Amino acid sequence: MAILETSDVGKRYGRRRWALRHVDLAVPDGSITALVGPNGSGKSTLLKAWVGFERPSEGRVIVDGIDPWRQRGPALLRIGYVPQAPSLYRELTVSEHISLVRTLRVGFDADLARRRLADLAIPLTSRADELSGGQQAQVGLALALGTRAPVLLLDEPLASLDPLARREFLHVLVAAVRADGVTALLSSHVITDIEQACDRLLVLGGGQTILDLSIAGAIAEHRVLEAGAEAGSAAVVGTFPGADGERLALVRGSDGVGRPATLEEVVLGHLAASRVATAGLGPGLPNQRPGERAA
Amino acid sequence: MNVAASGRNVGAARLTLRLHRLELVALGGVLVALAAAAFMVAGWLDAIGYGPSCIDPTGTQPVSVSCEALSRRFYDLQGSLASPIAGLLVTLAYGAAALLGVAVVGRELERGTSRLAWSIAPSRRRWYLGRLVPVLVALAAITFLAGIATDRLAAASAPGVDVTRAFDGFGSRGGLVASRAILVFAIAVATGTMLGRVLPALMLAAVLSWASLSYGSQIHDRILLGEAVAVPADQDQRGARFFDQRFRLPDGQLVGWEVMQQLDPPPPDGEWIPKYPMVNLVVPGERYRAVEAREAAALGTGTLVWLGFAGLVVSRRRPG
Repeated sequence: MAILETSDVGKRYGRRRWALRHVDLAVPDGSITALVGPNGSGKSTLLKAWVGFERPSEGRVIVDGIDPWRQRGPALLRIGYVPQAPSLYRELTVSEHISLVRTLRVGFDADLARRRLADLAIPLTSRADELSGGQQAQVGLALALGTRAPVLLLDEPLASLDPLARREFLHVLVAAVRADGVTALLSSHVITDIEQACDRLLVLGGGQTILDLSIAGAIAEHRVLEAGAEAGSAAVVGTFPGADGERLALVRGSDGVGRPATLEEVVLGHLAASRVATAGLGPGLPNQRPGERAA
Repeated sequence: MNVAASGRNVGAARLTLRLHRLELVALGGVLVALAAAAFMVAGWLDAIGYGPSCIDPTGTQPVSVSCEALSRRFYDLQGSLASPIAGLLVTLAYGAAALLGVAVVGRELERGTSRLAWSIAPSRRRWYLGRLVPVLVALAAITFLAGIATDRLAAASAPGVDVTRAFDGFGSRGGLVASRAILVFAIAVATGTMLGRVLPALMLAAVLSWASLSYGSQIHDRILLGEAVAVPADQDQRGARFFDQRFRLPDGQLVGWEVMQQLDPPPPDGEWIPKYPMVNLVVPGERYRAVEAREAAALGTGTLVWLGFAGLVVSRRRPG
C-alpha cells in the first residue's frame, strides 16, 4: 500500500518553467526510498509539495490519504521532515531545540530525541552554531524522528557531510526506520551511500519520473556494455562516460551481454537517456508523459 | 486551558524571547537607561524652580532678574538634555519596534529556520501567534516605559501646565509613543513576512511607517480642525492645540487674514489695528485624553490590520 502518492503532478514557476510535470508516483508503506536526480530535476519541489510548502500547479499529492495543501495540519502530523540546508536556530542549544519542537508539536517524543542524540555523543548544551555539519544533520534527524511520524522526508541531508558523517547519518536513519516501521524518502546525489541504505529507487530527470524500481530490481534488470561491444537484442537505455572516460552503454532486459551494472551506472544511464530526450526542447518540458516519450 | 498546554505556552514564550535576546537586551537596555536619564533630568528641571510665578502667558509683564536667571538655566537644561533625550527615546522606540518586527518572521525566513518550524507545527497560525505575542508584550513594556518617561519630561518642561490636559508634544509622549511604536512593529512584521529578508524589509518598513504615521497625523489633524473652537486670541491658551487665526465679524462669521484685509484695508503707512477681534482656532487642552485615546484606538486598529495581513501571508507563503 502506498503512503506517499502523486497523481499527474506538475509544478510551474513563473509562466513557462516547469519544475515537475506529469509525475505519478507511489511510495510503498514501510520502504526506504531513494529519490535521485540531477540539480533542478524537481526532487526538492516534490518533497516540499508533500510537506505542504509548495502547491502543485496541476495534479495532486497525497500523504497517507490526505492532500497536504488542503489539509496541512493533519498531513504534517504524518510527516517528519529534514530540510536541505541546516535549519536550526543558531541562538538555541540542542536541548532548547527539543523543547521548542515540543511546544510546537503535541506528542513529540522529546525523550526519544534526547536518547538518540546522547547515543551519538552530541552535547545537548551546545548551541546549534557550535555543532559540525554532521551533528546539525543528526539533530535535524533526531527532531524528525521524535515526531513519531509514519513518514520521513529527507531533502538531501547528506549533501554537506563528509563520508564518515554520511555513513553515521544513514546508519541512524536505517536503524530508526527499521525499528519504528516508518516510511522514509531520502533525496540524495550520493548513490553509493543510498545503495546500502535504501530498498527502492526513484529517479527524477527534467521534472519527470524516469525510473521507479526496487534497488535489487534496478541492478538485476540492467547491464553495462563497454565501448565497441555489441548490444545484440538488448535495448540500449543510454550511454554515459565511465570512470576512465570510456563510453559505456546501459542496456535493459538482457543478462546475456556485457557485465552487471552498478546502481550508479543504472542511474547515470537513465539520466543520460533523459537528457537526450529533453535536449533541444527549449524552456520547460515537453508536454508528454514519460510513457509517451519512451515510445 | 490545561496545565500541560499552559506550561507549553510559557516554555514557547521563553524560547521566543531567547531568540530575540540580543535585540531585547540591547535596545531594551538603552531604552531603560534613557528612561532613567529622562526621570533624572526631569528632576533637575523641577529643582531649578522655574514655575508659573515667572511665566506671563500674555508676554506683556516685565520679567524679574531672578526669573530671567532661572529661565536661562531652565531652557539651557531643556535644550541640552531634556529635548535630545525625549527625541532619542521616541526614535529608539520606533527603531526597536522595526528591528524586532522584521525579525519575528522575516529572520526565520531568511535563515531558513521556518522550514524546520513550519514542518513541525501543524498550525502555522499558532506558530505565528507564539512568535508574535511574547515579542509584542516585551516591546509594549519597553515602549510604554519610554512613553511614561517622555510624559515626565514634558511635564517638567512645561511648568504650570497639567500635561494630562495639554497637547504639548502631542504624539511624541505618553501612551501614543507605545501605540505608534507598536504600529511600526506591526508594519515591520508584515514586511518581514512578505519579503523574507531582514534588510530590505527594514527599509520598506521604515518607508511605510513614515508614510502611515505622517498621513495618519494629517488625517487626525483634519478631524481635529473640524472640532476646533474659536477662543479670543488674548485668552490663556496654554495646553491647547492651536490650528489657525481668524477674525470674528459682528455676525459671528469667522474670516481669515486675506478677507479681513479686504474688509478693512491696512493704512498705507502706520500700524494696522484690525477693527474686528482676533480669535484662535484651538482644541482645548481638556480634550487631550479623549483625543489621545481616539488616536490610540486608530493606531491599534491599524496594528491589527497589519498583523492580520502578516498572519495571512504566513499561512500561505513558502518557508523561504
